Amino acid sequence: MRLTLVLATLLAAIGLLFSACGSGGEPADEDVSTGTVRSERADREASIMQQEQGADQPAEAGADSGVIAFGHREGLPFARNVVGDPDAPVLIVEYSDFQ
Amino acid sequence: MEELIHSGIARYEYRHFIIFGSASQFAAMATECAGDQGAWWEFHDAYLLDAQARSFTRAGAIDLARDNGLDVARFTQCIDNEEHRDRILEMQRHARSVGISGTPTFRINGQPAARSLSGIIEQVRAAAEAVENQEGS
Repeated sequence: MRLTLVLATLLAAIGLLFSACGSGGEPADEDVSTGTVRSERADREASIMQQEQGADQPAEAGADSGVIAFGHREGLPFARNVVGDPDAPVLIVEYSDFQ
Repeated sequence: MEELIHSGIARYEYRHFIIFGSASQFAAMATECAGDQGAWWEFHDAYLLDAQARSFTRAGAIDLARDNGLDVARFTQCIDNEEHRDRILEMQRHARSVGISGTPTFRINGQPAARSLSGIIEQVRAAAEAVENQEGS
C-alpha cells in the first residue's frame, strides 16, 4: 500500500516536471520563420529607444495609448508622445518648445 | 513627413526641449498631464495651433482639458502638483547629453538629422532602406 502511494507520488511529480518543461520551451507567439528578424528588429528598436529616452525611463503604455481620432494623424496608433506604427523601421525624434 | 508616418516607414516622437522659460515648461507639463488621460496629441496640437491655448495659462489648460472631455479634477491636480516636472527635466538633460541646443532639432534613428525638410525625408528613406537591407541579409 505504502509502495503504491510512493509510486503514485513519483509519477505525479514526473508529470508535473514534463508539463513545466513543455510550457517553458514553446512561447505562444513564436514565429519560427521570422523569429530571427523579429528579434533583430526588437533589439534594434530597444537600442534606439534606449538611446533616445535614456535608460532610466521605462516605456509608456496603458491608458495613454490608442489610435488618434482627429486631424491629419487620424487612424495612426500613438503611445503618449510617439505616433505611428510601432514596427516602423525609422524613428524620427523632434526636440521642440511649444512657444 | 506625414506620408512617411502614415505609410509605416517612420514613427514620430515629440520631446520637450524648453528654451523659452516657465510658460513653455507649464505647457509641456500640461501636455504630459493630458497624456495621462490619452489626450497628449490634442494638447500638442492646441499649444502649437490654437491662439487661446497659446496663452499658456493654468485657466486655459483647464479649459482645454474640459473641452477634450478629460477628468478635470485629476488634470488640475496633476498640473498643480507638477507631477511630470521630473520627466520633462530628464528629457531636457538627455537632449543636452546628445548635443541638442536649440529648437526644433530632429534626430533620425539616433543620428542628427538634415537641416531641411527635404533632407530629412531623404534621410528617413535611406534609413528605412538600410534597415530593410540589414534584415534581408
